[in-house]
Amino acid sequence: MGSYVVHRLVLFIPTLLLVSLIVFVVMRIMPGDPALLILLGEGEGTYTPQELDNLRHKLGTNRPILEQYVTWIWGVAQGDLGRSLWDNSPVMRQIQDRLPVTLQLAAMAIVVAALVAVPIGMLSAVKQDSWIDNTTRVFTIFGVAAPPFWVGILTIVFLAKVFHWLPPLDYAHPWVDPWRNLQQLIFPTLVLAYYEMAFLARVTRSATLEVLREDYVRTARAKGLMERFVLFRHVLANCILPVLTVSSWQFGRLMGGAVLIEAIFLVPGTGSLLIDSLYRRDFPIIQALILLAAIIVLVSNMVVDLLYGFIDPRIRYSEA
Amino acid sequence: MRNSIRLSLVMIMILAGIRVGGALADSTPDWVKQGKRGGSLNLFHDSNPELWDPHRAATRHSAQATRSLYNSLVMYSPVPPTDKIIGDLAKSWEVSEDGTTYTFKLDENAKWWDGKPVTADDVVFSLNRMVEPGQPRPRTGALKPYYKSSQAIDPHTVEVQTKFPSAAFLSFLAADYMVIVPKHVLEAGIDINVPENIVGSGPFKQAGFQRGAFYAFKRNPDYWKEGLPFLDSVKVHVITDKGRALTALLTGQVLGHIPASGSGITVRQAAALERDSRGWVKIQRVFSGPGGIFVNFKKKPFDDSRVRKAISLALDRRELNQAIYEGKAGPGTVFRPGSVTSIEEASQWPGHRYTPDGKKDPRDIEEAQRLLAEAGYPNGFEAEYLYRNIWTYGDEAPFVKAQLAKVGIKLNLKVVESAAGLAAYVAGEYEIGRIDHGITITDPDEIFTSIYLAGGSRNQVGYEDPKIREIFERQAQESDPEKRTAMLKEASNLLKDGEGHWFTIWWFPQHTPTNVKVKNVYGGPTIHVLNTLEHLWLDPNAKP
Repeated sequence: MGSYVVHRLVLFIPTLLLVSLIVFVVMRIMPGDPALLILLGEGEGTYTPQELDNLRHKLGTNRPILEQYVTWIWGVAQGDLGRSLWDNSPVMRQIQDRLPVTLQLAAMAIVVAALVAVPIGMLSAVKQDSWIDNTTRVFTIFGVAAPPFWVGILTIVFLAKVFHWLPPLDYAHPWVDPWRNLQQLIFPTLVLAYYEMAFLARVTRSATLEVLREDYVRTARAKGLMERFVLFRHVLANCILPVLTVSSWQFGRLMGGAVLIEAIFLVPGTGSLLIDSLYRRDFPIIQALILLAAIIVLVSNMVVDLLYGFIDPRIRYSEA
Repeated sequence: MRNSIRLSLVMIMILAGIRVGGALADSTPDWVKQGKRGGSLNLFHDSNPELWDPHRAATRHSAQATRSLYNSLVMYSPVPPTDKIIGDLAKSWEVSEDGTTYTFKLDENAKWWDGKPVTADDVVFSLNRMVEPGQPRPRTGALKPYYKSSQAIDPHTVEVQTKFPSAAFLSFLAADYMVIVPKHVLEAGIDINVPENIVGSGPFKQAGFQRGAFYAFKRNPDYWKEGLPFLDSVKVHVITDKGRALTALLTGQVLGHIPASGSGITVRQAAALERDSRGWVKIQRVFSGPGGIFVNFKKKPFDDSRVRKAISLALDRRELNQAIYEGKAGPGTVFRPGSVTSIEEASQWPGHRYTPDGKKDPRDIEEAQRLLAEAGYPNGFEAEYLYRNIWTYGDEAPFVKAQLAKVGIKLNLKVVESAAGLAAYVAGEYEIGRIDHGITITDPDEIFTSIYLAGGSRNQVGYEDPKIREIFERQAQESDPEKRTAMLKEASNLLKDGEGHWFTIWWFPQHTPTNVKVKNVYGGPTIHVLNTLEHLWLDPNAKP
């Protein structure tokens, strides 16, 4: 197991290098020059070609792309993610402030989603074609079809109109003021969780239906095992693997996909930082955030792979 | 003579929509006496302050965040009439007989947060920094055509020379970017673009900033203006989602957009806000600047002035105004509506005129078709209409397409992300573009230099009519207001025909929502002035 983990960690390096290279090159070839944007603002700023050249030189964006990449990746390898092109603040500090917020939101959303999705997905499968199944399917199909930002806006309007209340504007860390933190994050969590839950519930339903038709389930029932034992000991254990796989993928996606929800609910996470940085072509922040998202996806995938071994005894990772 | 020159400059400023107060009264103004101390104010901002160095700033977003940290020499009056220029650091000033030397007397009480006095050396240093060659000065660089030099006469007296007598100079000095920064801090190599490094002289100190989330101020307890500021603290939440901003306003989570102007909310949203809040939220509306459709005259067929004129004629400005702003935008005059050309007069211009039943005058369409045929395009042509995915541009595009189709011009609509669109405009990689221009000051010089003279922020491709250049130079130095108005009319008559690269479709409105509990919120003459918070106060007992 230990060498398997080391092997996986070593494989991270080429993957991350590839991700870093792709994001670096894409940012450089897409239209929009940060020096130009700094000078133009919303298009009303004036500048001379000399001023533009000087600023590009100062920001280092006029250097050969390979040189820029090597300088940046060497810094990353040493723990230096660079500085914002706009306000010169260290990227590491920006991310340190924001990442825990997004991690908390993503974790809460995925936990809530899983806690709801697995029972209702299984119930839907067990009660296939009943009114329970039909209701669950409508509920989950709506969840998959409705864009989270739209549900988010509806939620905000509902809270404002009905309760004349909105989540607090000021973010509080959970260890400073847990109640305030919960007030702020509960609704974005529910909105995100609804979408993820809907998808997860459908996966759970499909996986459960498949397992329910397996011979070993029929055998378990034939030997007189109580239905709840059949479901929890045999069905759940066998249908949870695809659910787990999807969850890890969803978690990775949530790290980058909560952008609009963060904007609507004013959650100061990495999503709002990413979108702001994209508008401004603040390359070091964008690169760092995408690299970070890639690391989180890789790690969560690895954790899930390791969990497979615990959940399904047939899966073991060899030392070789 | 000295008085007559000064009087002339005053008259010109009145023409530009500006009043001038040569000196502050010794006694505390009534509006200061009426204000109440204390309270914390929650506001929102529709964007993020990109930069904290005010001289490097290019947008109102940065000015709105930095203006309360510093002072400028002169400023617009925070209470009506808000188009009047009053002293900020300058307690008085005089203009020389030839109108090219300003002598400012600084307030001796003014001091930086570190306790050092604000001196004439700081002012000279700052003015020179605002026009520093080779450095990014996207807004303060507007002083370059006017500013010649400055000298410290004594620690509290500054003499500033301009290149020619200009009414626009003082207006530019009053814009929110032209703040005085501490020489001793900058010379020590400290980067004032980093919020924590800021040492200002202003009414509020920086009290936290998280990009895309919030920025905060706390009261400067040692502020040198007696009785100001009123508020203990201000927290400005960055809310980019309009729906969230509106609900925050309706529930009282925020009591307004950071003054003086802006917010990005539409006419419909503004009306709904006033209605749904049952009068708790009031809206200030300012004509932010001219919105225009512009063509790349370096590409065929836009190199032909007849084609350009045909496009201007074919545009149905009233239909656009109704569709986007419910008719609340100003007419598409060259200069600020009503300042040079009356609204009635402009309504008779070709391309702007309508039949009594409100339909576009058919003569304009006929003339446009005739011009296109004469230019060799009797069946029209195809062109790309490039616009950015922000503001109202996407809503307008189908209307523009339908309007130009009536004279045979088939537009292919191309929407791009904002940064990419700006880059395309600057590089000349477009055929027809669309942009709104938020003016910094109301003086007509701003319109010339930004739009109609080569190299302006809305004229990067470099279109210039020598006649317009000649009129600009004459009017900028003209001290007789009547003569200047006549010159501006001359320019307006040339530009209204749409033979240039830019066709003004309207003067677009910006809306600033504020709860009635916040006092002393008055719209400034533009969205780039009066962004200080020093005059605001809270009245918890206020009712709609």
